[in-house]
Amino acid sequence: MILHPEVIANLLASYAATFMVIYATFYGVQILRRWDIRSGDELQLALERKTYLISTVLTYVFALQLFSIFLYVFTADALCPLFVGAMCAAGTLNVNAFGYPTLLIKILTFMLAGLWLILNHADNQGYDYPLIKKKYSLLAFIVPFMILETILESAYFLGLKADVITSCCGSLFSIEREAGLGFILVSLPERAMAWIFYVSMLCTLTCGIFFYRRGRGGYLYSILSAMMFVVSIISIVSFISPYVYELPTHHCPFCIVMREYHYIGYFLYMLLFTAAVCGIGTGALLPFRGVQSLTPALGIFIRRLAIASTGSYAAFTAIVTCEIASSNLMM
Amino acid sequence: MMRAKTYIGAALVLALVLFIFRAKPALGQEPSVAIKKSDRCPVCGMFVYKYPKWVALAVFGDGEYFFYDGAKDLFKHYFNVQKFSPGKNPEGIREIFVTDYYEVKLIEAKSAYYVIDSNVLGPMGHELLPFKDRESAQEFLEDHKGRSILRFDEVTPEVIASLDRRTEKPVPSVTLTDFNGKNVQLSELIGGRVALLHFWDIKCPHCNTDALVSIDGLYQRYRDKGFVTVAIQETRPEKGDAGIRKYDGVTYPMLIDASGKTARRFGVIAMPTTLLVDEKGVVRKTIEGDSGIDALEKLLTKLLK
Repeated sequence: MILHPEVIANLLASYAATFMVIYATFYGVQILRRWDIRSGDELQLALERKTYLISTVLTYVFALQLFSIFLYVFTADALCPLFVGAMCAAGTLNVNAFGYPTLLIKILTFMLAGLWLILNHADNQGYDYPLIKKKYSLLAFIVPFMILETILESAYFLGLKADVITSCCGSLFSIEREAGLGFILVSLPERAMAWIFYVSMLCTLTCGIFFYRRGRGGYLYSILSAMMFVVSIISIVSFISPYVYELPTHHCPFCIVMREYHYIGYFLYMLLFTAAVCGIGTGALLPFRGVQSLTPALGIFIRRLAIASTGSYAAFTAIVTCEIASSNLMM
Repeated sequence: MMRAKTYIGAALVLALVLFIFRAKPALGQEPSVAIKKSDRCPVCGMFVYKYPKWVALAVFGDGEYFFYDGAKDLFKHYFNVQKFSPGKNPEGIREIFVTDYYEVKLIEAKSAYYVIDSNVLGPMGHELLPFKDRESAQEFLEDHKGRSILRFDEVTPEVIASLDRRTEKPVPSVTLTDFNGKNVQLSELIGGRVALLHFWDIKCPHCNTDALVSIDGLYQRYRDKGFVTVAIQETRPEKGDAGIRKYDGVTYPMLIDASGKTARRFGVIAMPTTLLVDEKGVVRKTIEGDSGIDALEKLLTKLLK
């Protein structure tokens, strides 16, 4: 293990979050099994009081969880001078077998945590806890992933050995590697990928604005925004990053978070993650529009989510286009 | 007052002289550009100013220049100019510099001596360590377990690839025995020639004696060009062993390594494994299992040229 302030911060955040989530799940399971709003039973009253505490705790924990993925990438980036061959987070994550799996599961828990926060906010709009069982079912679904994330993250940080020669992003995301996801993404034709990105983004934004204005096509927007998240990440590796770096062969999705590139990567990824979570959240809340205690507040909230998602995607596209237009690289 | 004027005049003349000497680099060996914070290695994208001890530099005829975070990336660019800098030609390179490891000064790359396979790592892992003369390169090689000293022209894309694959292992000086119990020095047997080492064992269920015969075909075709082949096994065959007749036709030396030390020194973890070693003792190809031995021929002809 490398005793580094960021490493300790990561591990503490992970342990604290998982502990609180497990604590909350203990009551969540009771709520799932025993909740009956019509009953005046002592247990029901206790659960009703408890749910306020649990919701508050989880709101903080999941908000922390949203930040933890950025902290994780920041830490990997900060540690790279310690490893021979690593020049950014890509190399540090490659030091042992747990780096990239932890990152992937963090992306998943980010989405789930965001969805839980959206569901919780919607539930708080009604007086009769209309979504309480859905909310705690989702919590029960998240718990195993949070535990798995903590195990993987511990294995990664505790297993960091400074004498390992790792690969730099120049070789991980290189056409010469001829294997692995990095190679597949890099070998996509850049011009075609740029067309796919801009055309699909145009469709997504149109659909989002249409839903905001007319209230129809919400599910379609939800699916499109989830797909757009994947397309955007692929686009960053395929054609956006070389323009940022002004190097035709450099495709790393991690170097853009460095200070030398004005931390633009964090901003781009935050926009993407916000857009995806709000977009998926739109679709997740649509089935509950008919719930009596939630009208009309839920309808307004869903449309706000859709416009937040659309706005984030639009901002992402605008920044990316600016970067490409102002880049000295010609491809 | 007069004296003050004289001092000022003298100072001006001195400043002018210094300026003229500064502007004229000695013998044209000084690079004409200095490193900036925004300079990035075109091969790996690293910010080069972070690694001043490893900097390499290529200046093109049109004034454009590239900094690298080590000689290895310089060579990668040099071997593939079109890829890393579209629109540029290798002929357009005006001057190339690498940093002398001992003196931490830029020296001309084409006159430098490069030590490979030492225990010193650069920012990009295994590196070529540049030195201005053979003496300092030799001193470094002895101090840091280096294996060979290369000149600029001897550095090939294969050498660079072998640094990245980290498969470079010198032929160890181990003593093996032949079937009659006579001692044989492996390094003497190979003696700086291109060699194929086939690790197998008669007890190994995956080892096929047909492979020994097909390797013999390869050996027969190239032995005149200085190609050596050795089969190495752990178990000494018994007289009258059914297997021994099968490789009666094998014409290359078959040696016994009862301790398994040679296999370990070459990092062989499975049987059968076939290694192709170049004349400098660098393992160029590793094949686990029997398939793919035929594919060695292309690389072999290249190495024998």
